[in-house]
Amino acid sequence: MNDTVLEMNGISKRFGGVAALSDVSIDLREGEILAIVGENGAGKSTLMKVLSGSYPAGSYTGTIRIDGAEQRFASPADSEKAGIAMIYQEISMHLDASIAENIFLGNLPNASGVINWKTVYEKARQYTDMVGLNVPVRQTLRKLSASQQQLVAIARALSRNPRFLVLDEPTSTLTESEADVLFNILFRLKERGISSIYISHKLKEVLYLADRITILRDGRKISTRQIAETSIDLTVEEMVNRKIDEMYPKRAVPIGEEVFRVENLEVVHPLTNSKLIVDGVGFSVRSGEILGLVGLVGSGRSETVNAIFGAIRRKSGELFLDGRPVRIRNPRDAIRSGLALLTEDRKKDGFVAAFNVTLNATLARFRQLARHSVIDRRREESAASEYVDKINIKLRDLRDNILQLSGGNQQKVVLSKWLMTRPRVLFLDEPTRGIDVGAKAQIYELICDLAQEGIAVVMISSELPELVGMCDRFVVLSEGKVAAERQRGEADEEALLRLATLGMG
Amino acid sequence: MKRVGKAIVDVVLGVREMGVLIPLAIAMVIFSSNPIFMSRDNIINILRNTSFVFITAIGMTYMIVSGAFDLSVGAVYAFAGVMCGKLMMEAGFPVWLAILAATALTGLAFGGVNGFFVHKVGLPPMLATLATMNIARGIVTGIQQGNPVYPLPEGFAAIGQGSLFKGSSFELPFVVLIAVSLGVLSAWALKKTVYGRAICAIGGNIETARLAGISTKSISISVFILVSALASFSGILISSRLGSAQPNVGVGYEMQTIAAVVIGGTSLQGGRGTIIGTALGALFMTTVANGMTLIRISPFWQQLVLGVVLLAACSMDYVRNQFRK
Repeated sequence: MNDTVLEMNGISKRFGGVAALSDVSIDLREGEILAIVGENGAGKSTLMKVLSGSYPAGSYTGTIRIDGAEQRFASPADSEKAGIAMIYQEISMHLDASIAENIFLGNLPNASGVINWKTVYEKARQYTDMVGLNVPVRQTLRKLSASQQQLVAIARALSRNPRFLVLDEPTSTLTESEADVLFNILFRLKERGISSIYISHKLKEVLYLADRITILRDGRKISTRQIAETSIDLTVEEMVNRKIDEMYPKRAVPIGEEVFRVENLEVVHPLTNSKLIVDGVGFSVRSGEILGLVGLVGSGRSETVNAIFGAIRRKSGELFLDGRPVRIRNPRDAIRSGLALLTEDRKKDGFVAAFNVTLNATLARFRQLARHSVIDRRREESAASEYVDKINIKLRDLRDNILQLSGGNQQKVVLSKWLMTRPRVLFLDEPTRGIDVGAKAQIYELICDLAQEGIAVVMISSELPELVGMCDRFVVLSEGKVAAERQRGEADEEALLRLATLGMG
Repeated sequence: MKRVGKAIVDVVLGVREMGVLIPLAIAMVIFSSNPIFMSRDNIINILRNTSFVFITAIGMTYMIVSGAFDLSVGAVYAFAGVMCGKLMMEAGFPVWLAILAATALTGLAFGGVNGFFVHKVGLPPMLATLATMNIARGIVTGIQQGNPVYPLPEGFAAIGQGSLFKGSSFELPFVVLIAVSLGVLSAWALKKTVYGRAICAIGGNIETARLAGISTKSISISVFILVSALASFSGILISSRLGSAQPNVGVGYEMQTIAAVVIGGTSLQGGRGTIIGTALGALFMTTVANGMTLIRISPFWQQLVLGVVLLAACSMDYVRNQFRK
């Protein structure tokens, strides 16, 4: 067995009153790929931010050692010097700079301050070849697809000649063949004695790639096992600590008439005018039904619901409510017609950070709660507290700032905002992203309640088990088109994923 | 009674707009070295001058709360004064009609242009309003060739110069009365109306506001019109106070009003702010300007002090926001 080269010992990290990590220890051996798996909110990213120095020494307890020597990183620059290169889920790069500039960002080969562009381009080409990216290195990043951008991020990390590579969900935007290229790179690095920490929810990938798996749950380490000693079922069980069927409180609800239908929806691609990101999508949803929109990142699923809601421009498309055509030019029209959209990123466009819970909860309804345009604070607070009780939002005071709440409770406040508009069709774009397992289960429960009340629900999620567990019917999108439609029970996770990746019905 | 008590405690403790009270008190102690500073006439003078800043700063508070800026207020201030003067003297408008017409037309014209370029064309507010600042100033100095409109009708001067209970110890200039009324109305509207809530939501997160069905563009444009109209009105009042409409009045006025708002605790990040804070900020700015003259600091140095105060206030805002996170 190879030597241990990197250790994190007894790491604990708190945010205010919340423990994000409690006494987590991991060790990494020379030339090893260690996978860290866990649900959203299990503490994986926090642990890696401790390792990278994003959370500086002193803001956590526990120790980090490299080759037995204790390290105290004050910033990401320190950890980089120690040989750690990070590849994050959401990559921050300069879209208008070239591939080469991005690879060497902050590190351009130069002779006493004068950049030698010829060397830059030559060296950049070495790294793009290494990651299998066949694009001229002078191309700006904006022209690349999301997966190509991800490959540039990997090339950038490799250019640092790291001893340790940390990859956080690196394949989320990659196609299968691109992912294979990445895996081969990791195998090659491993032979050269470079160790990797690989974070992913994709268990098949992990079992194929890793030597050992560490499982985190609720900020604690549950186990570290050799690949040979574990299986997908065991890993999943340890990740969620409950049988999968129990996680989704799916109920049989009588499904009623069609409430909403969209036909021939087209949306222009945000980066290239010549392409459509949504290309002729149509589907319908009935009262009491939960419809899953299945698709990979870039399949046009988010754009579909945003375009229906009037949040982004439609090129074409007809919308019908109860079989009658309805005109929706903007979110205001959509709300008036009984539509609601919980957006993908609640921090970006779900809540107002400067507002307290009440103001956020009533944001789509305050005009109706006012009398002759004058705000009635008591009426607002009683409306807000009705939903706080109904969907069990944990808070001290209705006037707490929304940032004081946990992710799950923030999401419930945003959901209250939409429920207050009494929608007939509820679009949920990643309703459980970034919230802990317990809150997830409550949100599932709530979605089932809403379906039972007769609301038509359209749900998007990157987590296929969630869709399979919750939905009555699936519409699979691939490259902006409807690739297939399946009833509950007709398709499992694997089948849906195959349909989404292959685009065949 | 209990609620009133709580409100008072809320206001005094930990409320950001009260931060200005301490520097204000220090400034007053320093300036009191000249006995004239605390005299009745000087205090009335300070209050009157505060009003000219405050009226526009009300609009600027709405503007900053909604997440934007307007640099053109100083030029609009001069423009409206001259326009009002010309309407009275050359077009023969009665005083009240001239005031109304100049306020409404100047406000609509410059506010509308600013709003159009920021929210329809998509220019950053700094750039669009910097351009209209030069356009407004250019038109008014061009037409007047640098000359004031003078004389103005006698009834008109009474508005800016006159007072209630003149000569008594309760003397209250009309201008102060107008500013206080506008302040109370606007504070109420910002906190208690649907319009005010929409402005806060837009400044807090414009995308969230739009998705919640708020007409973000038309409301943002209306705020540009509001701030221009208030700057116009204030400019008309100052011409009444001076007895002549000067095309070069209000240079640096935009900085005074923005400073008043920021010193008053309104967040530069948008989404929250108060009118009472702005009133205190305007009082502070005016007191400092007045006091510096009284303790014989050369006017040539005063701009330096204004700059330092603005820098300090903005830094405070950023430090506070960091601290929040």
